[in-house]
Amino acid sequence: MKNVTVIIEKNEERILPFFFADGENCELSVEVRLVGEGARVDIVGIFVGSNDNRMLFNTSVVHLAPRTVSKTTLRGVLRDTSSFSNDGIISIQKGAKGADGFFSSKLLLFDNAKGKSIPSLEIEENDLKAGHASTIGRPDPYQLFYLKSRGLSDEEARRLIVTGFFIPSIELFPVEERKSVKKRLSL
Amino acid sequence: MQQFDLPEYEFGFFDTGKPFYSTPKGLTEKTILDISAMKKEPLWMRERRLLAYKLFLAKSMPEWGGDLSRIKFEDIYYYVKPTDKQGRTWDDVPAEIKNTFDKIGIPEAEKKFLAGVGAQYDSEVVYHSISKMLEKKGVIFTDTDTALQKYPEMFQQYFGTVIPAGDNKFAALNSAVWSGGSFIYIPKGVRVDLPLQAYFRINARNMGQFERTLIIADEGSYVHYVEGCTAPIFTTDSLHSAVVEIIVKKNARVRYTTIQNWSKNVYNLVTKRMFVEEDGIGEWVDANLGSQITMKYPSIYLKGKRARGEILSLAFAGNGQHQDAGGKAIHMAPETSSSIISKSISKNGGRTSYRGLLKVHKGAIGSKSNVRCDALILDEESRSDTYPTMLIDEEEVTVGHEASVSKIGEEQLFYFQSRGIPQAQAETMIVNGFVEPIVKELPMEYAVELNRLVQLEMTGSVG
Amino acid sequence: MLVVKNLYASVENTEILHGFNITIKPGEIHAVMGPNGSGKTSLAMSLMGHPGYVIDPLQKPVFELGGVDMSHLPSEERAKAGLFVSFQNPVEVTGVSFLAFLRTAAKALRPDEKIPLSLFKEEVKRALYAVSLDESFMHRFLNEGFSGGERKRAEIVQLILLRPRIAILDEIDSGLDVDSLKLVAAAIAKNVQRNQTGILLITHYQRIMHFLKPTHVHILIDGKIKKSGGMELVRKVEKDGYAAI
Repeated sequence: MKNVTVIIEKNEERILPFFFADGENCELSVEVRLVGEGARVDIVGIFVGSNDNRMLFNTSVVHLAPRTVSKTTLRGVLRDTSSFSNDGIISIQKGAKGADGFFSSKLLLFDNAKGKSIPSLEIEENDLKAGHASTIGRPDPYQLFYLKSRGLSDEEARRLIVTGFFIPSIELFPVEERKSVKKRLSL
Repeated sequence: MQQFDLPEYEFGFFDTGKPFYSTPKGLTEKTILDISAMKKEPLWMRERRLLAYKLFLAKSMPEWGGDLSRIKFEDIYYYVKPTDKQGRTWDDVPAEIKNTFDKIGIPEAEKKFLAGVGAQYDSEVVYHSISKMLEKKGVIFTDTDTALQKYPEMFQQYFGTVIPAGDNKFAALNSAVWSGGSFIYIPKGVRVDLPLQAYFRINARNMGQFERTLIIADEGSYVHYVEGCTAPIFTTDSLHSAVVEIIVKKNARVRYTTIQNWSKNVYNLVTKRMFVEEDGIGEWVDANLGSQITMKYPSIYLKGKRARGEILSLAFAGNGQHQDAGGKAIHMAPETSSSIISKSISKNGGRTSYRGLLKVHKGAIGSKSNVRCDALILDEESRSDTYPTMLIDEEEVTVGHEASVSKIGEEQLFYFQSRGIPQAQAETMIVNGFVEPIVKELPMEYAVELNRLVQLEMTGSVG
Repeated sequence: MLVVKNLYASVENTEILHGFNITIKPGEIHAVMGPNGSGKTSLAMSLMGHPGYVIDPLQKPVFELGGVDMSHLPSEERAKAGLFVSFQNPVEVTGVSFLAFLRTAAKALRPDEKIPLSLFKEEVKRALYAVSLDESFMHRFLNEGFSGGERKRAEIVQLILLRPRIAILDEIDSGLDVDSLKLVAAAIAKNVQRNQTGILLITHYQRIMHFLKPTHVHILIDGKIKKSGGMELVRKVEKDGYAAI
């Protein structure tokens, strides 16, 4: 497992984009430490798994200073027998007053794919806002039905749904990277 | 934020009643043989106990959750028998014991519900009244020891099938030394409309409480079982380690409600699990106040098609308390659905943790699950953690988890205060509002009691 | 009688009110009009004692209700002294029914008045009816899922039941349709008539003043009263805008 630690200082704002597709395996553990007041991080991850890809992506965001903000957004589409596993921790330490941490992960599973998600919160401060939301599922059959009723093939409908699924998180990538991400996703 | 001293435990009294018989402190094979002999148990149960004891020794302590290092297994009495006879009617119950029950309000409960009272005093049920209505319907509602004697076949058929002794260290301990608890069998198609209830209470110094409950709801039946717990204060640590096994057959429905308010030195380590078969419904409503450490994760195994499960969990941790609670839903069949709602409150340095598991097995096509955890942290000393795990091996599912942690909103408090309501009262109202989704699921008297307990925890008085 | 003098108030270290003065006698209706950002809401919040608003003590402010100094009292004591504020955006509180909230507040404000719950419910029903809210609202959670207009009307229900001596109504007219506005104005007027409540009506619009004739009109600009008068000021603003004042 590869470990990365990122330290974010006072009033610094960072976007940490991660993109794994095209059959890349991924084994990565990212720790972000918000050490200065007003530090902010946006972790954005897009994962496309196919065949027997194994994707392991853990995040740990530690709020150590007042008014620090973190937003973690992970989106994965998994096909075939690929799997995705995430252990996502938001830790708000004592003294990190007014901290705001949010974690969200959504996985779309196709075929025989597997998903695992453990989004944890560890909160030692009472003046805070924190939350997480995780969903794992397949595309909404009514969405598929609606698209197909307008003449799209199953494949086209799926692609459209996957596109719609990724677009909002692509918007969170730094501007200069959005184009290449879209290209690699063939959107 | 204003600080309040937590009150001395309101039900913190113990009477002078001397147990008639107890095994010596500590646990050896001899203790188990003694327990089994005292109860005149069949051989198979004695063997099961001995095997469980070996498993208990072999299993390591859980590495997560609360700090259990201070439990001294050698200092615990594993079996205390307060009276020789089962009380059939209220008049038969010894005055001292009655006095204790009066303080908890058992007669009230009996007045309100004709469905029968099974109340546990020390390790054994001493008072048990079964209403004619239940007998007529063929419902069995008795203490577990009696059930072993009276219904040996059914007992052997189901005992330990939902939670085997080797499941975890404390399930093994319970399987080795269990005593008391309730045994319920609801025949096919029978609905028990009034909640069945039992009160448990630890009342001997260093006394462990190892009750064992087994509920079998046959096809198409319905029962709601309610346990309310209060316990007196001890000077040394006390252990409560129960096992509750429930089998919900096809089309049946079981709801199991717990309001637990152990005194603040009790280790409350309970294993609860339900098997739910086709089209069955299993529900846990689990409210944890009190105790020093609670580790309890009621589980629902959805084994049959379209089985449904619901877990409502409430935890309140005050000074020195750690409530490590949550729920598990295991989807093993197609179109099963589950919902877990957890609400936790930590105050005065208390710590709450939600620990949950959501697992969808391959083949559980079309399953749905929704998990929602909300935590309130009331002051700077307290903390809250959320550890939900989702393991999904089937792609045709819809599962979601959401959690939030917050303090009581300043704007909410101000709104109340601007209408003349002082801060402490406003906080109590907001906290009671926060737990309302769970309280509304309780029978009326328990809802009132729970609101009262929250008020007691919040302000140190009821009024 | 409400007396406010030399009120300098700030929020997040920014001074919003720069010396506000007003005196409201029982039964008087004072309208305070002003453009966005002139300090209207800060006025309501700082008088009610919102923790985010700080009144500058160095300016020797006077803040008395019925001769009692309010400036050091916590919000609930101000409420007990007879001060009421209607909120522009009242918060939602899940799990707490509107009835339970009203009952608790009424008990806190009038501890000696022992009204049985059944009678209190009747009072609540009448108050709800007065602003055309269904009686089922008493069992809804406080403000939860109320529409904008319903929230405003629910604030008026509180005004009716809590019977304050001075009510500061912060944009009670916004988000109401004409019919609701008439009801709300009538309820306020009735309260003034019956209880001699003094009203401080904070508003953007003149519309409500056609239903609820203010005895005094003040124009608030940059945290200070720029001009005081009667209905003629309303007409002037209507015609030429605040810039003309």
